[in-house]
Amino acid sequence: MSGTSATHGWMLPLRLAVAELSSHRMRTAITGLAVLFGVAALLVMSSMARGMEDSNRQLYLQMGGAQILIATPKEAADQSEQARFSRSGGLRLSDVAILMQALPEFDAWVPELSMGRGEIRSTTGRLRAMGTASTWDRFDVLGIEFDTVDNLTQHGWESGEAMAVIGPEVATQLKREVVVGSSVIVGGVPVRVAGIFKTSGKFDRRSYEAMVPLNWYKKVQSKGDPQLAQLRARVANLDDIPAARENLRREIVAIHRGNEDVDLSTNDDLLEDSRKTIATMSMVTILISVVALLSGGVGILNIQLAALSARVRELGVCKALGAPSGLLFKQMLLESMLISAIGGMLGCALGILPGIVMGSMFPWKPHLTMTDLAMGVGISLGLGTLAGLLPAIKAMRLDAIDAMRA
Amino acid sequence: MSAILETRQLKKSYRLGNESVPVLHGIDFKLEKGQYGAIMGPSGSGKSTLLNILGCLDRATSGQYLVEGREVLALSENELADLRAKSIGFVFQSFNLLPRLTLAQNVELPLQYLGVSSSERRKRVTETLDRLGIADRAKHLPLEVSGGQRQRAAIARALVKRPAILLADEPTGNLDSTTTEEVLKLFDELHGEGNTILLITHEHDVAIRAQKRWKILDGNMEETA
Repeated sequence: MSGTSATHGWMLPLRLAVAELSSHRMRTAITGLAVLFGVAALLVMSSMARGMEDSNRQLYLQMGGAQILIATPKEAADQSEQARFSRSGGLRLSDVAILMQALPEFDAWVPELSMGRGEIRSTTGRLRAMGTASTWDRFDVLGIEFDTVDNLTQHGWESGEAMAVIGPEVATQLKREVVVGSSVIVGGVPVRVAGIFKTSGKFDRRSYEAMVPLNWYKKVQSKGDPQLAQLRARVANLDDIPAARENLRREIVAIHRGNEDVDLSTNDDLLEDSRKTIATMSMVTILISVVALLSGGVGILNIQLAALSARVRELGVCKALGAPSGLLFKQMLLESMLISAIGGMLGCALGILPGIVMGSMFPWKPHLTMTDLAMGVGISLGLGTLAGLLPAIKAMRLDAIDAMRA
Repeated sequence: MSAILETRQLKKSYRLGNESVPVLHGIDFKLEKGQYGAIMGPSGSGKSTLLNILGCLDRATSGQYLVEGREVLALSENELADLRAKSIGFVFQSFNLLPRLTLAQNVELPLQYLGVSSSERRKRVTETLDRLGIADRAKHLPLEVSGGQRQRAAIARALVKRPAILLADEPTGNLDSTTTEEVLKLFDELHGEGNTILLITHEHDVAIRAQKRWKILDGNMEETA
């Protein structure tokens, strides 16, 4: 007799498991599919949710970040409230001057007027654009940057020169008709295009925006004290936001003769609402993915139990030849883990695809991290381990004599 | 000569409900190194039970069983597996080759359990297949070769680890008369080369080739001429 007593570790069972799976490629592939789809679904959903969050964060910054309070006219709940609101006159441009005087904790005020649909046109037809009239401070408060400018000055803007700044998608609609320095028609009056916004792409809402000086627009519209679409106010000190919000609310109510006809929100409120929506959506989709993964695990368990029944005689022979129980345990467990891990890795590859293929199709770009991929592989390995335990324990406990009689 | 296998008052009984059914009634038996023995007996005589105990696949109820002088009854499951891997070469009636492995891979399997290096495994597998005259069938699957070649591969699998004892359970039971003669001739040769062999059979013509013979009947065993 020769040979040495061997502690097999995991290499021999791994080799045997690979050999076993290789001899049943089709079965292995089909069994791994459920894990593949489960992991892929989980990663796609996760990447989409993260992409949406990224997009929201960008929007949040475009809206001025945490220090901005936004006042918007409240919609009346019923006719009596509507009558009351109409008496107070709503949120007016004249309110801004009073608020500036009364509330020194705010260091910037940005009143915004919305243009009507179709109010902004090219010389040959309508443009799809969101028109806003506002002050120069809006550029600073919202962090607006420009790709190209032509004689765009604070003085010209504030003195009410006939000019406009537009998003690149608006510029694209104008085609060859207009470039920076030529004109668009606002309210029937030609205005010079003085700048084109820098944006992150066609899904950036600023791409469709057109903005004109508030003072010019007021003159053209000749409406005296126009009603504002919204008023942004920047709090000088981040810590003062709760108190500043309350002061602003109280002041507006006072100006509006006791009417609470204005809603106040912060960008954080909006971001939080959006986060809640995304979190709810993520929970639902993760739940679906988990169900798919559990189905995959049950599939592996089922196939491995069936494989064990089919191979019980072989395993009995292996035991008779000297295979220790631990080796059979490891072999069966590894088979299950390999099926699941391969499914998981292919699922990761599939999960990356939407980020590559669909990046330009959505307003947000699906975003996967290495942690997501590690999580995908980890989950599939864990699933394979759980699903493989029962068949592995059964293989380990096989009685060689009974097994060879099977 | 030293005993490779030895039993002293070996008894085995099975529980059937509340009853204990005795199968082996105190077997005393000794096979020495280099001997070629055969145990004969009809179906139900207890010879399969004895083979399972001698092959360390089952445990006796009482008595002593020694393999190369080492008491077996007190060994743990893993120690028994280790003993099977190192000391006992099994040859089964129905060959029991793993169907998805080639003959060479089947023969290599026990060496993997022993942790023999890859180069040493290749060398020993080639030598053994060559010795048994099936080197040209090394890469074939069991279903692609004849019954005689399958049994040769099974014998090669048992021999490749150079065991203390070759235990053959009805090794010619599934073979035609020509192939039976070939296999028995092979056992003669292996015995001539110094291997210790124990056959279990119900065929007198097979048992007669062995150097020592025992007859088992109703759980009692005695040496015969």
